[in-house]
Amino acid sequence: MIQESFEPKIIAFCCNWCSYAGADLAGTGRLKYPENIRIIRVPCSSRVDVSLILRAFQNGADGVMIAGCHPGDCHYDTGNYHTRKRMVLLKSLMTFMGLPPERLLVKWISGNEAERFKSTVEDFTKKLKQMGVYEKARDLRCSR
Amino acid sequence: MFKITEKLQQIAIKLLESGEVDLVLGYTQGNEPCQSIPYIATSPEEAKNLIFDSFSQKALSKYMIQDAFKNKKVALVVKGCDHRGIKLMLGENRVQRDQIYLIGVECSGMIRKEQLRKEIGQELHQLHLEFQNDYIEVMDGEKKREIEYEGVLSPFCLSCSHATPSEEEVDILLTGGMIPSILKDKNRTHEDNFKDINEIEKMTEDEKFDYWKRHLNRCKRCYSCRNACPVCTCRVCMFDRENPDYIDAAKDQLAQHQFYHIIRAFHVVDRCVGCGECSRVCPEGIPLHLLNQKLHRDLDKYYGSYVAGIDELPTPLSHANANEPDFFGKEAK
Repeated sequence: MIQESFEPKIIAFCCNWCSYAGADLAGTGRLKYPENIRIIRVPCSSRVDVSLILRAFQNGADGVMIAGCHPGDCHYDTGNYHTRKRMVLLKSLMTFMGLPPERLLVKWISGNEAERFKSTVEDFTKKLKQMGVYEKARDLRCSR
Repeated sequence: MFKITEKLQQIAIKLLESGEVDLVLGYTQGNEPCQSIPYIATSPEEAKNLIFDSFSQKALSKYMIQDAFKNKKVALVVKGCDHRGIKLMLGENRVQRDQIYLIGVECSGMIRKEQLRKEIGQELHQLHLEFQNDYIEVMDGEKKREIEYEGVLSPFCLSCSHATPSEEEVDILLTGGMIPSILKDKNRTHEDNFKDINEIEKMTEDEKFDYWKRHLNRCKRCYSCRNACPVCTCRVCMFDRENPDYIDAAKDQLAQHQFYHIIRAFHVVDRCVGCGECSRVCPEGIPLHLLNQKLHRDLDKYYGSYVAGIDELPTPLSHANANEPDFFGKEAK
């Protein structure tokens, strides 16, 4: 279902130490990125529990993005190692259950990579626009 | 009948008479034939009701986290899979080792009652079952029939490689039971368990979704799978919270079922002992073990093989380090 006017909703969980700073830099640098994104600041990307991601999908998100520090740069040493371990499993389970894993994006963005943040969001938005509305994991009682 | 039953009763009587344990947690004959139910023996007389047979499926270790068993010395009857479960509980300080006395039993494989009924083609009342090495002898009055083990044994037992707890880790190991020859051969590999997964993986995305939709929409959210699971041992489950933010009892919402089962799979996957209780107890027959097995296989594939309850703690998902493969790096995407 591709609509001309369809604007996907993206929930982005950004790690406080790198990716949120990256997003901040994109803002202060006046870089324009799509307004489809809703940023939620989390202390660390490993804070993003599987339930948070699923809840975002239930509540009307068309895509969920998790952005953390590059491996090796974690403020808490091992946080993003946990993230990548979990997320690769979640993606494979989503595939197994017939839920498109492309709707979950994991990206490492550091504090000075404003350009990377911008391009990531742009690409993700473009991809989701092509994919259309996401209904498969939606709780139908939640209004869009 | 089962030799282990006699040995079990003897040891239970001895333990209870000497006061070494306060109670023995085991199995007894249920009201229906081919049904063993959990049983607590607190006196030598009660210990005579204890049995162990091919229908003693329920993992008893889960009782240990209940308040009623606190500050009591409990003797626990454990099969191989139960023992792996309790080892995880010990490692996670859910129970203390000096609080329990482990009676390990040599597991003869668990028989699925439903399958047996289907194979025989009639109700199990008034039938006399004789367990032989290669087949089950079913006697209905004068009539005799032979039932192959392969069709009635739990598929998880058929490929089980840790059926009996190791002798050093239990306080006493009861052996000498009749083991079906099909289990002794060990010609079945773990891969045989993954057959269904391979089939599902071949489906297209929509077929997969429909498959799980068909199954998960039957979920009543009775939480049997959680309650039966020997490694689901949180004192307060996230699904039991009074005001849950994430999940409610809405049964007409596929998303809620997906949510529950994905979360549960994630919570137990690295500790899953592969006993198959989740799908056995499911009143709707949802193949829940597939989710666990799928994740478990991925864990093995990406991060090396880990057998819960046999290998050292910590479990794979409770630690992480820099040397693991990165699937989200610049190169990968």
